[in-house]
Amino acid sequence: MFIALQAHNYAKHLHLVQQYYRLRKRVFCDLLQWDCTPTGDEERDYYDTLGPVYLLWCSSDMAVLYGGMRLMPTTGPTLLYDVFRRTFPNAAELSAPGIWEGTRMCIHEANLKRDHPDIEPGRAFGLMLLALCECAMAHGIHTMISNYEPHLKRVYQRAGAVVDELGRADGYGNRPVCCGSFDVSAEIHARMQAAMEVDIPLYRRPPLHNAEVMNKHNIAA
Amino acid sequence: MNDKHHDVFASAFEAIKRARDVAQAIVAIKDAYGVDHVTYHMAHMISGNYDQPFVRTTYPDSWVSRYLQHGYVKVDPVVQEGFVRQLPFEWREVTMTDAALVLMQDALAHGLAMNGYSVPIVDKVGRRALFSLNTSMADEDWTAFVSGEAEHLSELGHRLHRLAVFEVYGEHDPVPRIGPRERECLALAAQGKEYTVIAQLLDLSEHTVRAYLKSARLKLDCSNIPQAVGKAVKLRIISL
Repeated sequence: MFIALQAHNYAKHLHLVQQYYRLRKRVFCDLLQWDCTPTGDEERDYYDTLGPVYLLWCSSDMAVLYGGMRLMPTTGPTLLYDVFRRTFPNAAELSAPGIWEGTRMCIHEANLKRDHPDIEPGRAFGLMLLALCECAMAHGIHTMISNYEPHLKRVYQRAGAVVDELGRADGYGNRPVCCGSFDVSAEIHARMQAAMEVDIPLYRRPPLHNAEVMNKHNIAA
Repeated sequence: MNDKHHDVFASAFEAIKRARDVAQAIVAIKDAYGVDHVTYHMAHMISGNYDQPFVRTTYPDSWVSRYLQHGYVKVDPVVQEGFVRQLPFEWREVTMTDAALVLMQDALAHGLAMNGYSVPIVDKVGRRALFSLNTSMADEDWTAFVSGEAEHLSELGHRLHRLAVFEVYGEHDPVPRIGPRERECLALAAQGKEYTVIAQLLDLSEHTVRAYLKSARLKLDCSNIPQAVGKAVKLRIISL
Protein backbone atom coordinates (compact mmCIF):
# COMPACT_ATOMS: atom_id res chain seq x y z
CA MET A 1 0.00 0.00 0.00
CA PHE A 2 0.98 3.61 -0.47
CA ILE A 3 0.85 6.08 2.40
CA ALA A 4 1.80 9.71 2.90
CA LEU A 5 3.93 10.02 6.00
CA GLN A 6 4.16 13.52 7.42
CA ALA A 7 6.31 15.01 10.17
CA HIS A 8 3.73 14.47 12.94
CA ASN A 9 3.94 10.74 12.20
CA TYR A 10 7.66 10.20 11.51
CA ALA A 11 8.31 8.91 15.01
CA LYS A 12 5.39 6.48 14.87
CA HIS A 13 6.76 4.89 11.69
CA LEU A 14 10.45 5.55 12.22
CA HIS A 15 11.51 2.17 10.84
CA LEU A 16 9.89 3.02 7.48
CA VAL A 17 11.55 6.43 7.32
CA GLN A 18 14.91 4.83 8.13
CA GLN A 19 14.41 2.15 5.48
CA TYR A 20 13.69 4.94 3.00
CA TYR A 21 16.87 6.87 3.95
CA ARG A 22 18.92 3.68 3.62
CA LEU A 23 17.35 2.91 0.25
CA ARG A 24 18.22 6.41 -0.92
CA LYS A 25 21.84 5.89 0.10
CA ARG A 26 22.08 2.68 -1.92
CA VAL A 27 20.30 4.10 -4.97
CA PHE A 28 21.51 7.68 -5.20
CA CYS A 29 24.94 7.58 -3.54
CA ASP A 30 26.10 4.07 -4.48
CA LEU A 31 24.34 3.13 -7.72
CA LEU A 32 23.67 6.41 -9.52
CA GLN A 33 26.56 8.22 -7.82
CA TRP A 34 24.69 11.47 -7.54
CA ASP A 35 26.42 14.27 -5.74
CA CYS A 36 25.05 13.37 -2.30
CA THR A 37 26.79 12.80 1.00
CA PRO A 38 25.75 9.72 2.96
CA THR A 39 25.24 9.90 6.73
CA GLY A 40 26.38 6.44 7.78
CA ASP A 41 24.24 4.02 5.79
CA GLU A 42 21.57 6.68 5.16
CA GLU A 43 21.18 9.53 2.70
CA ARG A 44 19.54 12.60 4.20
CA ASP A 45 19.90 16.25 3.33
CA TYR A 46 18.81 19.69 4.49
CA TYR A 47 15.38 19.30 2.89
CA ASP A 48 14.64 16.31 5.09
CA THR A 49 14.90 18.62 8.11
CA LEU A 50 12.02 20.77 6.78
CA GLY A 51 9.32 18.19 7.49
CA PRO A 52 8.62 17.00 3.94
CA VAL A 53 5.92 14.50 3.02
CA TYR A 54 7.21 11.01 2.26
CA LEU A 55 5.04 9.02 -0.09
CA LEU A 56 5.99 5.47 0.83
CA TRP A 57 5.13 2.14 -0.70
CA CYS A 58 5.15 -0.50 2.00
CA SER A 59 3.71 -3.88 2.91
CA SER A 60 0.23 -3.82 4.46
CA ASP A 61 1.69 -4.44 7.94
CA MET A 62 4.00 -1.47 7.32
CA ALA A 63 7.08 -3.57 8.02
CA VAL A 64 8.75 -3.65 4.60
CA LEU A 65 9.49 -0.73 2.27
CA TYR A 66 9.15 -1.12 -1.52
CA GLY A 67 9.73 2.46 -2.59
CA GLY A 68 9.35 6.10 -1.77
CA MET A 69 9.64 9.71 -2.77
CA ARG A 70 9.82 13.08 -1.06
CA LEU A 71 7.19 15.76 -1.66
CA MET A 72 7.50 19.48 -0.88
CA PRO A 73 5.34 22.49 -1.77
CA THR A 74 6.96 24.88 -4.25
CA THR A 75 5.76 27.84 -2.17
CA GLY A 76 8.45 26.93 0.38
CA PRO A 77 12.15 26.12 0.10
CA THR A 78 12.67 23.30 -2.41
CA LEU A 79 15.64 21.36 -3.70
CA LEU A 80 14.94 21.99 -7.37
CA TYR A 81 14.65 25.73 -6.73
CA ASP A 82 17.78 26.03 -4.59
CA VAL A 83 20.06 23.50 -6.22
CA PHE A 84 18.94 23.41 -9.83
CA ARG A 85 17.97 27.05 -10.34
CA ARG A 86 20.77 27.57 -12.86
CA THR A 87 20.51 24.24 -14.63
CA PHE A 88 16.71 23.99 -14.59
CA PRO A 89 15.52 27.62 -14.74
CA ASN A 90 12.26 26.65 -16.43
CA ALA A 91 11.40 24.18 -13.71
CA ALA A 92 12.62 26.29 -10.81
CA GLU A 93 10.43 29.26 -11.66
CA LEU A 94 7.23 27.29 -11.15
CA SER A 95 6.10 28.24 -7.69
CA ALA A 96 2.48 28.25 -6.57
CA PRO A 97 0.12 26.46 -4.20
CA GLY A 98 -1.00 23.39 -6.11
CA ILE A 99 2.45 22.87 -7.65
CA TRP A 100 4.67 20.52 -5.64
CA GLU A 101 8.06 18.99 -6.23
CA GLY A 102 8.86 15.31 -5.93
CA THR A 103 12.46 14.25 -5.44
CA ARG A 104 14.48 11.16 -4.44
CA MET A 105 12.03 8.75 -6.02
CA CYS A 106 13.35 5.22 -5.77
CA ILE A 107 12.23 1.62 -5.48
CA HIS A 108 13.60 -1.26 -3.46
CA GLU A 109 14.19 -3.84 -6.19
CA ALA A 110 15.27 -6.65 -3.87
CA ASN A 111 12.27 -6.35 -1.53
CA LEU A 112 9.92 -6.16 -4.50
CA LYS A 113 11.48 -9.15 -6.20
CA ARG A 114 11.12 -11.18 -3.01
CA ASP A 115 7.53 -10.19 -2.10
CA HIS A 116 6.09 -9.25 -5.51
CA PRO A 117 8.06 -11.13 -8.18
CA ASP A 118 5.36 -10.28 -10.75
CA ILE A 119 6.08 -6.54 -10.55
CA GLU A 120 9.12 -5.64 -12.65
CA PRO A 121 10.93 -2.34 -11.92
CA GLY A 122 9.35 -0.43 -14.82
CA ARG A 123 5.87 -1.27 -13.58
CA ALA A 124 6.95 -0.43 -10.04
CA PHE A 125 7.89 3.11 -11.09
CA GLY A 126 4.58 3.40 -12.92
CA LEU A 127 2.65 2.31 -9.82
CA MET A 128 4.54 4.83 -7.69
CA LEU A 129 3.53 7.53 -10.14
CA LEU A 130 -0.11 6.43 -10.12
CA ALA A 131 -0.13 6.51 -6.31
CA LEU A 132 1.47 9.96 -6.46
CA CYS A 133 -1.29 11.12 -8.80
CA GLU A 134 -3.93 9.90 -6.34
CA CYS A 135 -2.21 11.45 -3.33
CA ALA A 136 -1.84 14.77 -5.17
CA MET A 137 -5.48 14.79 -6.34
CA ALA A 138 -6.64 14.21 -2.77
CA HIS A 139 -4.88 17.42 -1.70
CA GLY A 140 -5.60 19.95 -4.43
CA ILE A 141 -2.24 19.48 -6.17
CA HIS A 142 -2.49 19.79 -9.96
CA THR A 143 1.16 19.72 -11.05
CA MET A 144 4.22 17.79 -9.88
CA ILE A 145 7.75 18.88 -10.76
CA SER A 146 10.28 16.10 -10.50
CA ASN A 147 13.83 15.14 -11.43
CA TYR A 148 14.54 11.72 -12.91
CA GLU A 149 16.98 9.65 -14.91
CA PRO A 150 16.50 10.09 -18.70
CA HIS A 151 15.39 6.50 -19.36
CA LEU A 152 12.51 6.84 -16.90
CA LYS A 153 10.63 9.22 -19.17
CA ARG A 154 9.64 6.31 -21.44
CA VAL A 155 8.68 4.26 -18.41
CA TYR A 156 6.44 7.07 -17.18
CA GLN A 157 4.85 7.52 -20.59
CA ARG A 158 4.18 3.80 -20.89
CA ALA A 159 2.42 4.12 -17.53
CA GLY A 160 0.05 6.66 -19.10
CA ALA A 161 1.60 9.77 -17.53
CA VAL A 162 2.07 13.08 -19.35
CA VAL A 163 5.58 14.41 -18.76
CA ASP A 164 7.00 17.65 -20.13
CA GLU A 165 10.77 17.67 -19.94
CA LEU A 166 11.65 21.17 -18.77
CA GLY A 167 15.40 20.74 -18.53
CA ARG A 168 18.30 18.31 -18.58
CA ALA A 169 21.65 18.65 -16.87
CA ASP A 170 24.96 16.81 -16.82
CA GLY A 171 27.39 16.57 -13.98
CA TYR A 172 25.17 15.25 -11.22
CA GLY A 173 26.02 11.59 -11.59
CA ASN A 174 26.65 8.82 -14.09
CA ARG A 175 23.91 9.95 -16.43
CA PRO A 176 22.24 13.28 -17.09
CA VAL A 177 19.39 14.28 -14.80
CA CYS A 178 16.11 15.46 -16.28
CA CYS A 179 13.54 17.69 -14.74
CA GLY A 180 9.93 17.47 -15.81
CA SER A 181 6.41 18.57 -15.09
CA PHE A 182 3.70 15.95 -14.51
CA ASP A 183 0.04 16.64 -15.04
CA VAL A 184 -2.24 15.61 -12.18
CA SER A 185 -5.91 15.31 -13.12
CA ALA A 186 -8.81 12.88 -13.19
CA GLU A 187 -8.18 12.41 -16.90
CA ILE A 188 -4.53 11.46 -16.40
CA HIS A 189 -5.50 9.24 -13.50
CA ALA A 190 -7.92 7.31 -15.72
CA ARG A 191 -5.28 7.03 -18.45
CA MET A 192 -2.72 5.66 -16.03
CA GLN A 193 -5.15 3.16 -14.54
CA ALA A 194 -6.00 1.93 -18.02
CA ALA A 195 -2.36 1.79 -19.18
CA MET A 196 -1.33 -0.26 -16.15
CA GLU A 197 -4.56 -2.22 -15.81
CA VAL A 198 -5.12 -1.13 -12.24
CA ASP A 199 -8.73 -0.73 -11.12
CA ILE A 200 -8.40 -0.05 -7.40
CA PRO A 201 -7.06 3.02 -5.60
CA LEU A 202 -3.40 2.60 -4.61
CA TYR A 203 -2.96 5.55 -2.29
CA ARG A 204 -4.50 4.97 1.11
CA ARG A 205 -6.04 8.10 2.58
CA PRO A 206 -5.80 8.49 6.34
CA PRO A 207 -8.91 7.26 8.16
CA LEU A 208 -11.46 9.92 9.15
CA HIS A 209 -13.22 10.09 12.51
CA ASN A 210 -16.92 10.54 12.55
CA ALA A 211 -17.53 14.10 13.73
CA GLU A 212 -21.30 13.76 13.47
CA VAL A 213 -21.36 11.02 16.05
CA MET A 214 -19.34 13.18 18.43
CA ASN A 215 -21.70 16.12 17.92
CA LYS A 216 -24.78 13.98 18.61
CA HIS A 217 -23.14 12.30 21.56
CA ASN A 218 -22.57 15.68 23.13
CA ILE A 219 -26.14 16.82 22.58
CA ALA A 220 -27.40 13.63 24.18
CA ALA A 221 -25.06 14.11 27.11
CA MET B 1 -14.16 23.68 -12.24
CA ASN B 2 -17.52 25.28 -12.82
CA ASP B 3 -18.17 29.01 -13.05
CA LYS B 4 -19.99 29.32 -9.75
CA HIS B 5 -17.04 27.86 -7.86
CA HIS B 6 -14.69 30.18 -9.66
CA ASP B 7 -16.87 33.21 -8.92
CA VAL B 8 -16.87 32.47 -5.19
CA PHE B 9 -13.12 31.98 -5.26
CA ALA B 10 -12.49 35.14 -7.29
CA SER B 11 -14.68 37.25 -5.01
CA ALA B 12 -12.87 35.92 -1.93
CA PHE B 13 -9.46 36.47 -3.55
CA GLU B 14 -10.31 40.04 -4.53
CA ALA B 15 -11.76 40.68 -1.06
CA ILE B 16 -8.42 39.67 0.51
CA LYS B 17 -6.63 42.09 -1.80
CA ARG B 18 -9.00 44.92 -0.85
CA ALA B 19 -8.95 44.12 2.86
CA ARG B 20 -7.33 46.57 5.26
CA ASP B 21 -5.97 43.71 7.37
CA VAL B 22 -6.23 39.98 8.02
CA ALA B 23 -9.13 40.44 10.46
CA GLN B 24 -11.23 42.00 7.72
CA ALA B 25 -10.12 39.46 5.10
CA ILE B 26 -11.16 36.40 7.11
CA VAL B 27 -14.67 37.79 7.55
CA ALA B 28 -14.89 38.21 3.79
CA ILE B 29 -13.77 34.58 3.25
CA LYS B 30 -16.28 33.36 5.84
CA ASP B 31 -19.08 35.21 4.05
CA ALA B 32 -18.03 34.16 0.56
CA TYR B 33 -17.90 30.47 1.44
CA GLY B 34 -20.70 30.43 4.01
CA VAL B 35 -18.64 28.55 6.60
CA ASP B 36 -19.08 29.02 10.35
CA HIS B 37 -15.60 30.33 11.14
CA VAL B 38 -12.25 31.19 9.56
CA THR B 39 -8.89 31.38 11.31
CA TYR B 40 -5.43 32.42 10.17
CA HIS B 41 -2.51 31.56 12.43
CA MET B 42 1.15 32.38 11.75
CA ALA B 43 3.83 30.76 13.90
CA HIS B 44 6.75 33.05 14.49
CA MET B 45 9.32 30.32 14.49
CA ILE B 46 9.62 27.36 12.19
CA SER B 47 10.05 24.79 14.93
CA GLY B 48 8.20 24.40 18.15
CA ASN B 49 8.03 27.98 19.38
CA TYR B 50 4.48 29.28 19.24
CA ASP B 51 5.09 31.91 21.95
CA GLN B 52 3.90 34.98 20.15
CA PRO B 53 1.91 33.78 17.23
CA PHE B 54 -0.15 36.05 15.02
CA VAL B 55 -3.74 34.81 15.13
CA ARG B 56 -6.89 36.25 13.61
CA THR B 57 -10.16 34.40 13.93
CA THR B 58 -13.91 34.86 13.61
CA TYR B 59 -14.60 32.68 16.68
CA PRO B 60 -16.58 34.51 19.37
CA ASP B 61 -14.45 36.37 21.94
CA SER B 62 -15.83 34.21 24.74
CA TRP B 63 -14.40 31.09 23.11
CA VAL B 64 -11.08 32.75 22.30
CA SER B 65 -10.55 33.83 25.90
CA ARG B 66 -11.54 30.41 27.21
CA TYR B 67 -9.12 28.81 24.73
CA LEU B 68 -6.31 31.07 25.93
CA GLN B 69 -7.15 30.67 29.64
CA HIS B 70 -7.05 26.90 29.42
CA GLY B 71 -3.90 26.84 27.34
CA TYR B 72 -5.78 24.76 24.78
CA VAL B 73 -3.25 25.60 22.07
CA LYS B 74 -0.89 23.07 23.67
CA VAL B 75 -3.37 20.23 23.19
CA ASP B 76 -5.25 21.41 20.11
CA PRO B 77 -4.39 18.69 17.59
CA VAL B 78 -5.25 20.92 14.63
CA VAL B 79 -2.59 23.43 15.69
CA GLN B 80 -0.05 20.92 16.99
CA GLU B 81 -0.19 18.74 13.90
CA GLY B 82 -1.02 21.56 11.51
CA PHE B 83 2.31 23.27 12.00
CA VAL B 84 4.28 20.15 11.16
CA ARG B 85 2.05 18.76 8.44
CA GLN B 86 2.46 19.97 4.86
CA LEU B 87 -0.62 18.63 3.09
CA PRO B 88 -4.04 20.21 3.68
CA PHE B 89 -6.16 18.08 6.02
CA GLU B 90 -9.63 17.58 7.33
CA TRP B 91 -9.96 17.88 11.09
CA ARG B 92 -11.43 14.39 11.15
CA GLU B 93 -7.93 13.17 10.23
CA VAL B 94 -6.06 14.41 13.30
CA THR B 95 -4.93 12.20 16.14
CA MET B 96 -7.27 12.45 19.10
CA THR B 97 -5.66 12.42 22.53
CA ASP B 98 -7.62 12.48 25.81
CA ALA B 99 -6.71 16.13 26.31
CA ALA B 100 -7.91 16.90 22.78
CA LEU B 101 -11.25 15.22 23.55
CA VAL B 102 -11.68 17.47 26.58
CA LEU B 103 -10.99 20.48 24.37
CA MET B 104 -13.53 19.24 21.82
CA GLN B 105 -16.26 18.68 24.38
CA ASP B 106 -15.71 22.19 25.68
CA ALA B 107 -15.81 23.61 22.16
CA LEU B 108 -19.11 21.81 21.51
CA ALA B 109 -20.52 23.14 24.76
CA HIS B 110 -19.69 26.62 23.50
CA GLY B 111 -21.69 26.03 20.36
CA LEU B 112 -18.79 25.41 18.03
CA ALA B 113 -19.01 22.92 15.22
CA MET B 114 -16.60 20.04 14.88
CA ASN B 115 -15.79 19.75 11.22
CA GLY B 116 -12.98 21.69 9.69
CA TYR B 117 -10.26 21.87 7.11
CA SER B 118 -6.79 23.39 7.43
CA VAL B 119 -4.20 24.39 4.86
CA PRO B 120 -0.60 24.40 6.15
CA ILE B 121 1.38 27.22 4.56
CA VAL B 122 5.12 27.57 4.14
CA ASP B 123 6.82 30.42 2.29
CA LYS B 124 10.24 30.74 0.66
CA VAL B 125 11.87 31.97 3.88
CA GLY B 126 10.37 29.08 5.81
CA ARG B 127 7.67 30.97 7.74
CA ARG B 128 4.78 28.68 8.63
CA ALA B 129 1.09 29.43 8.96
CA LEU B 130 -2.23 27.64 9.13
CA PHE B 131 -5.43 28.68 7.39
CA SER B 132 -8.51 26.95 8.81
CA LEU B 133 -12.20 26.74 8.08
CA ASN B 134 -14.72 25.50 10.62
CA THR B 135 -18.20 24.29 9.72
CA SER B 136 -21.34 22.69 11.07
CA MET B 137 -21.81 20.89 7.75
CA ALA B 138 -22.29 17.12 7.96
CA ASP B 139 -19.24 14.88 7.46
CA GLU B 140 -19.96 13.68 3.92
CA ASP B 141 -21.11 17.08 2.65
CA TRP B 142 -18.05 18.78 4.07
CA THR B 143 -15.69 16.20 2.59
CA ALA B 144 -17.32 16.64 -0.81
CA PHE B 145 -17.09 20.42 -0.49
CA VAL B 146 -13.41 20.58 0.46
CA SER B 147 -12.34 18.06 -2.14
CA GLY B 148 -13.94 20.22 -4.81
CA GLU B 149 -12.40 23.41 -3.43
CA ALA B 150 -8.97 22.18 -2.28
CA GLU B 151 -7.02 24.04 -4.95
CA HIS B 152 -8.89 27.31 -4.37
CA LEU B 153 -8.63 27.11 -0.60
CA SER B 154 -4.92 26.57 -0.85
CA GLU B 155 -4.57 29.69 -3.02
CA LEU B 156 -6.67 31.75 -0.62
CA GLY B 157 -4.59 30.61 2.35
CA HIS B 158 -1.39 31.68 0.63
CA ARG B 159 -2.87 35.03 -0.39
CA LEU B 160 -3.95 35.60 3.20
CA HIS B 161 -0.44 34.76 4.36
CA ARG B 162 0.92 37.44 2.08
CA LEU B 163 -1.41 39.96 3.70
CA ALA B 164 -0.37 38.78 7.17
CA VAL B 165 3.35 39.08 6.37
CA PHE B 166 2.69 42.64 5.30
CA GLU B 167 0.71 43.34 8.46
CA VAL B 168 3.31 41.82 10.79
CA TYR B 169 6.60 42.69 9.13
CA GLY B 170 5.53 45.59 6.93
CA GLU B 171 7.21 43.83 4.02
CA HIS B 172 6.01 44.76 0.60
CA ASP B 173 6.54 42.08 -1.98
CA PRO B 174 9.17 43.29 -4.36
CA VAL B 175 8.34 43.44 -8.07
CA PRO B 176 7.47 39.82 -8.81
CA ARG B 177 10.25 37.65 -10.20
CA ILE B 178 8.67 36.33 -13.36
CA GLY B 179 10.79 33.67 -15.06
CA PRO B 180 11.50 33.48 -18.80
CA ARG B 181 8.99 30.69 -19.47
CA GLU B 182 6.29 32.44 -17.48
CA ARG B 183 6.96 35.62 -19.46
CA GLU B 184 6.68 33.76 -22.78
CA CYS B 185 3.36 32.24 -21.75
CA LEU B 186 2.04 35.63 -20.58
CA ALA B 187 3.15 37.32 -23.80
CA LEU B 188 1.39 34.72 -25.94
CA ALA B 189 -1.72 34.87 -23.76
CA ALA B 190 -1.64 38.66 -24.24
CA GLN B 191 -1.86 38.07 -27.99
CA GLY B 192 -5.07 36.20 -27.35
CA LYS B 193 -3.58 32.77 -28.07
CA GLU B 194 -5.38 29.72 -26.69
CA TYR B 195 -3.59 27.33 -24.32
CA THR B 196 -3.39 24.69 -27.02
CA VAL B 197 -1.68 27.12 -29.41
CA ILE B 198 0.76 28.35 -26.76
CA ALA B 199 1.56 24.73 -25.96
CA GLN B 200 2.35 24.01 -29.61
CA LEU B 201 4.49 27.11 -29.99
CA LEU B 202 6.55 26.35 -26.88
CA ASP B 203 6.61 22.59 -27.39
CA LEU B 204 4.95 21.95 -24.03
CA SER B 205 1.76 20.20 -22.99
CA GLU B 206 -1.28 22.36 -22.49
CA HIS B 207 -1.16 21.42 -18.85
CA THR B 208 2.35 22.77 -18.29
CA VAL B 209 1.34 26.01 -20.02
CA ARG B 210 -1.49 26.29 -17.51
CA ALA B 211 0.95 25.68 -14.66
CA TYR B 212 3.29 28.46 -15.88
CA LEU B 213 0.37 30.84 -16.27
CA LYS B 214 -0.94 30.03 -12.84
CA SER B 215 2.47 30.51 -11.28
CA ALA B 216 2.80 33.87 -13.08
CA ARG B 217 -0.77 34.88 -12.18
CA LEU B 218 -0.19 34.37 -8.46
CA LYS B 219 3.18 36.14 -8.53
CA LEU B 220 1.31 39.05 -10.12
CA ASP B 221 -1.37 38.73 -7.42
CA CYS B 222 -4.32 38.19 -9.74
CA SER B 223 -7.33 35.89 -9.57
CA ASN B 224 -7.61 35.38 -13.34
CA ILE B 225 -5.37 35.33 -16.43
CA PRO B 226 -6.69 38.42 -18.29
CA GLN B 227 -6.04 40.45 -15.15
CA ALA B 228 -2.52 39.01 -14.87
CA VAL B 229 -1.79 39.85 -18.50
CA GLY B 230 -2.96 43.43 -17.95
CA LYS B 231 -0.78 43.81 -14.89
CA ALA B 232 2.26 42.31 -16.65
CA VAL B 233 1.85 44.89 -19.41
CA LYS B 234 1.52 47.69 -16.89
CA LEU B 235 4.65 46.55 -15.03
CA ARG B 236 6.45 46.27 -18.40
CA ILE B 237 7.13 42.58 -17.84
CA ILE B 238 5.71 42.04 -21.32
CA SER B 239 4.80 44.46 -24.07
CA LEU B 240 1.96 44.28 -26.53
